[in-house]
Amino acid sequence: MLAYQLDTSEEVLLQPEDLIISKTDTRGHITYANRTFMQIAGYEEHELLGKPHNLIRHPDMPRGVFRFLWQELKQGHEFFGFVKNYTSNGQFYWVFANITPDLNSKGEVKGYFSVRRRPSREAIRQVSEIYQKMLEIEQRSSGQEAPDRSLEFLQQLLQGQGVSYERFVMRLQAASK
Amino acid sequence: MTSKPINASLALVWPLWLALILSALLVVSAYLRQALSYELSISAILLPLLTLYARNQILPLNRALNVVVQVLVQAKSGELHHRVTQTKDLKQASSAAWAVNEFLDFVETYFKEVKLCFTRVNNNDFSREAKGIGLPRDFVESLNSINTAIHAIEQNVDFTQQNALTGRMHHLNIAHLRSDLHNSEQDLSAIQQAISGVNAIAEENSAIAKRSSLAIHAMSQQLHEATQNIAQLQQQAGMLNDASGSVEDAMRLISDIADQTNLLALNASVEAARAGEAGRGFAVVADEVKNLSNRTKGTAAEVGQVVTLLNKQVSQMLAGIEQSADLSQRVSTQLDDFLSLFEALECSAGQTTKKVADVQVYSDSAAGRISHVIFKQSIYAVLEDVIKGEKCGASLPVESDTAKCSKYHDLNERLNQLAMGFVQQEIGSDELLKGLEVVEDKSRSLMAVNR
Ligand SMILES: Cc1cc2nc3c(=O)[nH]c(=O)nc-3n(C[C@H](O)[C@H](O)[C@H](O)COP(=O)(O)O)c2cc1C
Repeated sequence: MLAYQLDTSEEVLLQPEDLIISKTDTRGHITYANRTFMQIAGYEEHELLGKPHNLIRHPDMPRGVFRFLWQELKQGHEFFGFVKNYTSNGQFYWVFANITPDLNSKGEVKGYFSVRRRPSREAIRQVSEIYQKMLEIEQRSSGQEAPDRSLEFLQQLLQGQGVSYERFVMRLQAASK
Repeated sequence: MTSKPINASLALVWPLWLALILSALLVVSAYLRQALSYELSISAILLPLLTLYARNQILPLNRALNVVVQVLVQAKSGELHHRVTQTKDLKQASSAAWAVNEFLDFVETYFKEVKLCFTRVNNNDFSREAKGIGLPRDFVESLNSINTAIHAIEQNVDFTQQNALTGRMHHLNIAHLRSDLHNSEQDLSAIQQAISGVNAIAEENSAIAKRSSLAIHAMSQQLHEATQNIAQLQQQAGMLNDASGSVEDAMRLISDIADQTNLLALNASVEAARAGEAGRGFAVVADEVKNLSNRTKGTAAEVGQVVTLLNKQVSQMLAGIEQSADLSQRVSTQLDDFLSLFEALECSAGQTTKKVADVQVYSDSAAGRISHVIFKQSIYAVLEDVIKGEKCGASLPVESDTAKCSKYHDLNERLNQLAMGFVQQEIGSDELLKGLEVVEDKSRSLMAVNR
């Protein structure tokens, strides 16, 4: 049903029709994962439910990106971003993720909803370079400060280009599908 | 994939009901025929079997379906975020659960996209596109048309903002135009005044130059005459000089003649003495001649002395005259230079006056034109207010003095008349517009002429 393929470079590629969906509670603990998620990440449902979402976190991802993600969510904003994830057997896959707050009828945040789509290859190429630099900055900074430093770098980079973060990722994703 | 598992699992419920009804029928009929033993044995086997089947298969299925139904009911009431989890426990019903889950994934994603886009659109942010990728085709198409709609809204907002802007700009422009024009009118009248001042000065200058040049001309003429007089005098003095020379010559001649006469008289008296008595009378004459010649000579010498003196004085006078002739000649040339200077001045003053007069004509015409435009604008502004119903008892503008004196006065009067007619509802908007068109036509042709 889902024609993803295993690469020699150990990357699992998403197909255009693949939607990886998950939900978390307000702390980021998984409350739901769809079957595409399970198949691509290689987990059974019971291995995911109740676990923190950093279960699939890849070490190539700078902490600054997640710092920004949570900043945005805490302000009630949605987040877009390119994320590299681990599968259960040590492969990896890139996604273009969108995370939004789940509100109840009173408008209170009850959890988060995430949809991940196939990213454009050009976006992955450019973003990997930026993430690499952010990682280097984080390695040079002391623990607590590291994500702030790398996020600062990202924001200055975008400011230099006169573009907001969201515009930047949207443009990258639209660049070539 | 979406509907079949549900039917299949629902189908599993049938044997349960069938078996129950069958066994119930068997028990009842056995009871009625009082032949319980045979049937009882059958049902005694059947019933536990059925109970086992129900416990293992049908009851969990039923529970699972209850969960699925619950999620669906919640979804129906608008809570799209619920899902069926722990699907392993649902056994055969798990595919039904996943069908529901995936259906809800699509629906929730779709609605989230729509909601997020429009929340932003509400805040004038059109950058958030609805993302259809990964969703079923109908959803994708729907989201695409939403994107198109958002784009249209964006353009519309742009357009509206532009319109509002041009409207405001137009308003601003009109207000500013009027005050600008008013300022220009004031500037122009200041210029006009300044130019009249300059003109007066230029005219005054020209007159002074003329008067001065006349005076100098007269002076120069007088000097000329004086020079001529001096020249004449010089000539006469020269002639006198010449004449005194000939007087001297004559005196010298007379003196010579007197000397000779004296010599003759001496000889005569010598001869008379030799002639004795006979010569006595002759001797007397000779004496007299001698006396006469002596006196003549004396007088001639006196005259000669006087003439020499005179001659000396004439020479001195001549030298003086020559000097003053020289001087007056020099003064005269200087005066001539001066004169041509004044003539040039007079000429340029004349030109200046003419130019200033030209400028005045232009500025008069410009002032008239501007005051006309101001008047027109003010009339239009009042009309606009009246049309918008902002001012009912609107007062019409008053013509400025410049406008009154310009060639546009008649047109301005006509405009006033039209506006008054419209304000007092004597004429309708059609007639007003027609009248305004005529005025504008005339106004245009009048303005095309530069003075
Ligand atoms: C709805 C939702 C989905 C998330 N998905 C991912 C994900 O796919 N991969 C990931 O590494 N982190 C994801 N995160 C972020 C994690 O919660 C976590 O912040 C991140 O992995 C960094 O881990 P750390 O906080 O332990 O550094 C998600 C968070 C939320 C709220």
